[in-house]
Amino acid sequence: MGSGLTDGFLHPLTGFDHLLAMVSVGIWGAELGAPAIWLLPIAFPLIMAFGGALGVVGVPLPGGELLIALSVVVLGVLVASARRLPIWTALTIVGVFAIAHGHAHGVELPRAADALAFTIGFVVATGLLHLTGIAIGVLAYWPRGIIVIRACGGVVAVAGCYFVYGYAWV
Amino acid sequence: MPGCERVIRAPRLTAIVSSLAVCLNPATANAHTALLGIGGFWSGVAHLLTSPDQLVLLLGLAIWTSFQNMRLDARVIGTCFLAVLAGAWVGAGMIARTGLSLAPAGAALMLAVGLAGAMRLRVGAVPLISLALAAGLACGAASVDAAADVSVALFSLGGSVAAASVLSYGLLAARRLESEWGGVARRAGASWIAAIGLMMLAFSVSGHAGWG
Repeated sequence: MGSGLTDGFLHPLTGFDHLLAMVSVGIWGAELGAPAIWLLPIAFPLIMAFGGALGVVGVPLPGGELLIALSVVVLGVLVASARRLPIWTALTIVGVFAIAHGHAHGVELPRAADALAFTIGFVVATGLLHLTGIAIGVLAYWPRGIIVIRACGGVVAVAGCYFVYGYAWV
Repeated sequence: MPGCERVIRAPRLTAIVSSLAVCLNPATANAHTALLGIGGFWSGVAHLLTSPDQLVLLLGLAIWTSFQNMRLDARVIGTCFLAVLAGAWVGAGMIARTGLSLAPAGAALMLAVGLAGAMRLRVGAVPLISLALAAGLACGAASVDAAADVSVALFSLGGSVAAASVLSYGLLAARRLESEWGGVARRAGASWIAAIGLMMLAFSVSGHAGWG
């Protein structure tokens, strides 16, 4: 139980692509304001679990790793540009990426691991990463904070480009 | 008056010294022996409190109930108490013989209460009580494999008390989060529970080694 929980909790935290994407979802939600600030973190775990379920039952997701790398680029650009999109468009973008991230969690879950503990661990860690993103995104209420957030978005987008490069050429 | 203070303090000091003397008096260790004969009760309590799937389901039910009329709280807790009690008996009588796995049912209920809470679904008494009944029955019946060497009556009673306590404390905590952001936190928590339920359902379908 304990090792499954720890493994699950550390899974999103030790993969930089997952970590940056989850935090970016929170920041972007905070930038968009209500209702996105609370709708994205509520919807994301559910859609991610749907992707995870697909991975567990063995449904393949072609280009899943590329989609994860692209999610970091796209979310980084959206945060850097503070792009305001309609809520359903935002949900669709985040939803597609959530399925890719969830699928990776489902596929990478070790057969021997305590499945329930692993799932609780990664769902809670993901939620806490969103919360961290929202806390960072609150900086947008200060003029200098907006600059910091946009710079963070730029750094995330560059890191995403590195992930895409790593996927495509290495 | 210093004299009065001494009069008041003297009995207090005597009581403290006497209590310490009683505590420090060497005697036979009675750890656990006093619970002989009601071990099944504590097994029931401990089993529910150490079963994360049942805890998550009950917390999900508490979150969803917190979005309903407060008058329904007691009925949900009471229904769950009786359902866990009945579930353990049903499990002992039927499921223990047939070897039926309740993991998919528990996962589906987790998904249902999580989704209902995440959507802040407001319903009447009947659907809420029905789901509380189903959740209690599932918790009780799923626990029965741990009651092999103990009295089912005491085990189920312990499970019922623990389930009612978890629901009560969960509701107490959730009802305190009545602010706008508190509501968001409850919905996010319910969405986590639905996500866990969905994954559990997938594990049940795929026959994952670490579940079921």
